[in-house]
Amino acid sequence: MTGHRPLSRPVTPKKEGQRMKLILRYLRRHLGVFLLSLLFLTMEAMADLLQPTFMSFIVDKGVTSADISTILGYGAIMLGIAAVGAVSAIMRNVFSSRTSQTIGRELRRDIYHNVQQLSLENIDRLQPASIITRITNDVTQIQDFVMSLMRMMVKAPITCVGAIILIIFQTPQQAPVIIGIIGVVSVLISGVIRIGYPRFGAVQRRLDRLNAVAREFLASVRVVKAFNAEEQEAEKFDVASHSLASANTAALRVMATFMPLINLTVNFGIVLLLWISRNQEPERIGRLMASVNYMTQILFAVTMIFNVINNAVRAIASAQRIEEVLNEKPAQAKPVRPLTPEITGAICFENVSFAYAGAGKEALRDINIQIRAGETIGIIGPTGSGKTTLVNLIPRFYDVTEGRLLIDGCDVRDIDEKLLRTAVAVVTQKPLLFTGSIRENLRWGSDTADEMALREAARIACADAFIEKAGSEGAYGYEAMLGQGGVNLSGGQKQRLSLARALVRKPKVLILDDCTSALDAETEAKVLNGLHHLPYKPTVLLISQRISTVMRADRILCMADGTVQGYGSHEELMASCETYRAIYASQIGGEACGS
Amino acid sequence: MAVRGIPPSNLSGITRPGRGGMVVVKPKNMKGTLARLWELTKGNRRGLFMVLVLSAFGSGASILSPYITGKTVTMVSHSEPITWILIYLSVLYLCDWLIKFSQAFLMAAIGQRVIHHIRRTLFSHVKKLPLSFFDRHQHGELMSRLTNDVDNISTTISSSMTMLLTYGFTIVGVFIAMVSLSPVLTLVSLFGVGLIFLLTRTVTKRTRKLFAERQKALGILNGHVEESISGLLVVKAFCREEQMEREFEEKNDALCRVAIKALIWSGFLMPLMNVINNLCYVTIAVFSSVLYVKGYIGEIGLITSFLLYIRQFTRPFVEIANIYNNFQTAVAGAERVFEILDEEPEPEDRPDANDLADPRGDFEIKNVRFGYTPEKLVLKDISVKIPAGTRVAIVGPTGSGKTTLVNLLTRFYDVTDGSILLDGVDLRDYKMRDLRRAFGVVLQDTALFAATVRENIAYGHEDAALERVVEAARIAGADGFISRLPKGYDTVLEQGGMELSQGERQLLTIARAIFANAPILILDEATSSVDTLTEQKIRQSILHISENRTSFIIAHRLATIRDSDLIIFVENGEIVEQGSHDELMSRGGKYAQMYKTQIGAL
Repeated sequence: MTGHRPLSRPVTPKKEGQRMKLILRYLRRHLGVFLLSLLFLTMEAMADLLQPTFMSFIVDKGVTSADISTILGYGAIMLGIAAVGAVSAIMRNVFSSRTSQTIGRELRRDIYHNVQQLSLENIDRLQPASIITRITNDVTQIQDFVMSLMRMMVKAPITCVGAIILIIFQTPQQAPVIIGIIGVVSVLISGVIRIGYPRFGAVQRRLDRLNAVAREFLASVRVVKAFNAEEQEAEKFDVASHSLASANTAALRVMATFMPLINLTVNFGIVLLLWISRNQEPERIGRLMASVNYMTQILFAVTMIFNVINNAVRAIASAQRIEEVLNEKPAQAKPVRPLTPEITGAICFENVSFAYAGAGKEALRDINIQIRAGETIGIIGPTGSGKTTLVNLIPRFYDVTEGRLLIDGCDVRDIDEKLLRTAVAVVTQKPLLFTGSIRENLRWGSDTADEMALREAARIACADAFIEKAGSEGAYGYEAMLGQGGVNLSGGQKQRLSLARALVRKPKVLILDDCTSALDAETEAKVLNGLHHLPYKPTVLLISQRISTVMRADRILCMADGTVQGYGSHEELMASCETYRAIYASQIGGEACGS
Repeated sequence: MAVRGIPPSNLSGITRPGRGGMVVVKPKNMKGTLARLWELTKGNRRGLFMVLVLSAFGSGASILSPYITGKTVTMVSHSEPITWILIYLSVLYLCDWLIKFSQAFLMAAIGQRVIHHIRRTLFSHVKKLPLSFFDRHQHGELMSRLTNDVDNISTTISSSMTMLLTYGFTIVGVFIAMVSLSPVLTLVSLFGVGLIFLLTRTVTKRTRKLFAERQKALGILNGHVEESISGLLVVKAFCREEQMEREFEEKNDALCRVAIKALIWSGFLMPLMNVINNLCYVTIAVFSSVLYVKGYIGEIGLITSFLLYIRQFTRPFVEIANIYNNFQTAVAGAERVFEILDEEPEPEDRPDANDLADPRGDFEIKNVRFGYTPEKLVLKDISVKIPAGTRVAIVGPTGSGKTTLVNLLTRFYDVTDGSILLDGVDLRDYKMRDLRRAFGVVLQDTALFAATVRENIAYGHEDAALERVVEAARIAGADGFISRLPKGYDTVLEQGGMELSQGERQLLTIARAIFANAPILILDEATSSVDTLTEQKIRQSILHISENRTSFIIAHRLATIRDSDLIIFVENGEIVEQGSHDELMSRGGKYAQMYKTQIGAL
């Protein structure tokens, strides 16, 4: 693709509730299990809450009346409750693990599926790296959030409310204390959110900055060293690191201020509680003990709520990024009634103009050319002249903005997409291979190709020699694994392999986008010669920077600035096309011109 | 590129402390690593000491408050006035607050200062490392070590240290308090702790393996996503969308299955622990009540105290196992950071190293052998003499060792054998800075920085005069497009030049080399991506600036090659031919053959 990338679309802020919608949508699919796990969660919370109450019974009813059998009886009940609590906890854990991981799987699947449907225009806009982090990191965030939601979020409020009710119920005179404490704690929590979160935002931004500095240094380390600029880079890193550290300190200090204050509030609550009960009759002492116990439970619950809010903030941001991908609609429409013509490889550009989405300038302007089936067309022109853009229109990677592009008389937009792309094979500038064996990679061309066809394609692409030698540890030759842990090929070898992959397909139209640039002249000549003698005679479009590569084509298309400068044989262009002559002179040299 | 993607481990982050024991990585040398970490806290030790003391005191409230609370309950039950004891309790809570607040407040600054210091130390070491280090390591991995890891590791280590300390004191303090209150009840609690210990061991043994499996499945899935999304054009070109989705589905399901299993298993831990906790609680409640009724215990408040203590006592035991695991993982992470610090930096200048102010540019390469790894030589016995001011073209098939030769000239790598002399002195006898200043370099990859165009051209020279920058851009032929940028020379390349076309980027790197105005020039396929018309312009300027300068040009284009004084044809790490264009053509060897192939149909 060209170097001009449209910038990514700015994110439009939405209301919090709306952002939660995505998570709710996926949760709804598992509503039954979700509710069931909430039920168990509630039971678990109840079990925790009931313990101190029964404890107070033991003290008030058993101890004060010295009735050992009552004590043992309540003890047995408490054990029973503990068992119920444990079973509930195990059940909600099973459900929450299952649900959160399944939702994660569904989210990943849906995003991936949608991305596969998108047009390249969409992908350019969203940017591949960003899509990848959305599938990996952002989904994990949501998964963690759902997990914590089903494990704690509901438990904390239940525990809180339950504890408050029980305290008020058992010792009504404590009500004002409890309400007062809850009030103060809420104020403190909202204080953390109001003051703390902007600071954590700042931390994130500065961390991004530090990452950018480090990434840049690593990517340019040769230049840094060649220009003796190590000190300069160290200083840049230092500044970024220092500003991150101070942002972190500021954010952590907010927490350092508020968290102990919340602790202190609840502790003072206990003191007040004891003060109010100072005149308690001895037979109600158990209830007092229970109240104290409930206060500690409240403190614990508050801390949990805090964690969940933390998770929620991150999950909401992730949900928003995921939603963006899921809402993206393919920029290209599929044909309603697709045509299935017999494709022979005759191509016709009729008044074709094209502009990348978001780019002001047209990348192609008013292109009119005819290509006969079986012809070899060389395409040459300065970088940015629109060569790649032009050929990308043929397999419908992008759609024309104006005019028509016909293959065998049919508009490409009306042809069945699969049929079209099976007939056209593209070898891209940057060779892209995938994890798997060499054979699996070649099979991309055609699932049904037999061994002979694979070897033949490799031979024409001059890849047979190095394929034979490739491999390690039990997987040699065509079985050699590429990618992580496999062999790493040189640039030229990758180019030849991706060419072979296209040849396996036996296409009607073969597009070679400057795909021999890393080959030495000798190998390149051999490859081109092989392509010339393909038995199935495809239409070949051959883009190159080197004039010697395109000179032997049937016709040459010379482009500049998105327009056709000349179209004809080498001799014709030498006679008529100024741009072509200039290119020739610069590469072959002035004095060779006359010969 | 699909094949060499970012390792998936970076996507998931290496230190993710979590519930129920994630993957625990054991450090190789705990003591040594901690000692080295301690070294790095220099300048902040007084503060750290304060924090540690505070965290020890932090356990005070947990130890004392149950006792006081219990006392209060007893006094209430005896209808005694409790005003004073409540004041004691309030003071205790206030102290607790003060300690926790100042500990966290101090730590916020000290911790970050230490982290900043470690990062800085690390980076200033990394910048001195030789290129071979950067070529050997994945950039994504190095990056996370420089930024996130240091942060995570230090935070985890410091927080687990303080927590271990607090919990340690809590356990000891609570134990003493419990024994002094009632040895019998203490025995019951110890029994519970033993049970918890056993349970934790059994469960984590199982989950550790499962979490490792999950990590692996995640890596596989992320790898697939990485390559299929960045290679989507190819996926579409070959109509492989459905197959890719099927493959993805398989990997996705595999991850989901193992993740559920791991989480369910680790999820057993907490509820079961709770059961044991409750069991202890109930046993103590019943037991102490019975003891009280029978008259073995004097005060009712003792039951309250004990019930509060038992919670304080068991929790640290549960947490300590977890914290210790996180601590181990973090120390292992620190070891990886130290591995980088242990890398040998570029050799120091020899003590008697020569200054190199204004070299003539006489080169003599004598019997140079070189391999990136000892087993495989890339250059085998290269010898050539290059008089000052020669324009040298290095030609040959890909992989023949052309770029390697350039790497040796600039001392990105040092020769394995033999020597390279500049003006009659071995390169290794010059000061590194001087030597590198002598070269103006345009490399294959067009690395630019997220800074202004002006800063990019004047890279390595702060406060350069604008006129000089414009002059360099003009010679390189970059002036035209720069003046069309929104803010001209002050335009900030936000994305490190990615917003420019490949050709424009290359022009900027050429302008950068021209600005450096070095006596020796190196151009590694510098014009490969520039269109031919621009290339012609660049060639003119190269001809212009390489006048009277020794210059090394790696080029594929015949016109560039033919302009040179000396052509070196390299193949398989050896010089096959050398001479001027005419000499080599008349010799009719490899070069002539290559030339003819390129001229082709002429």
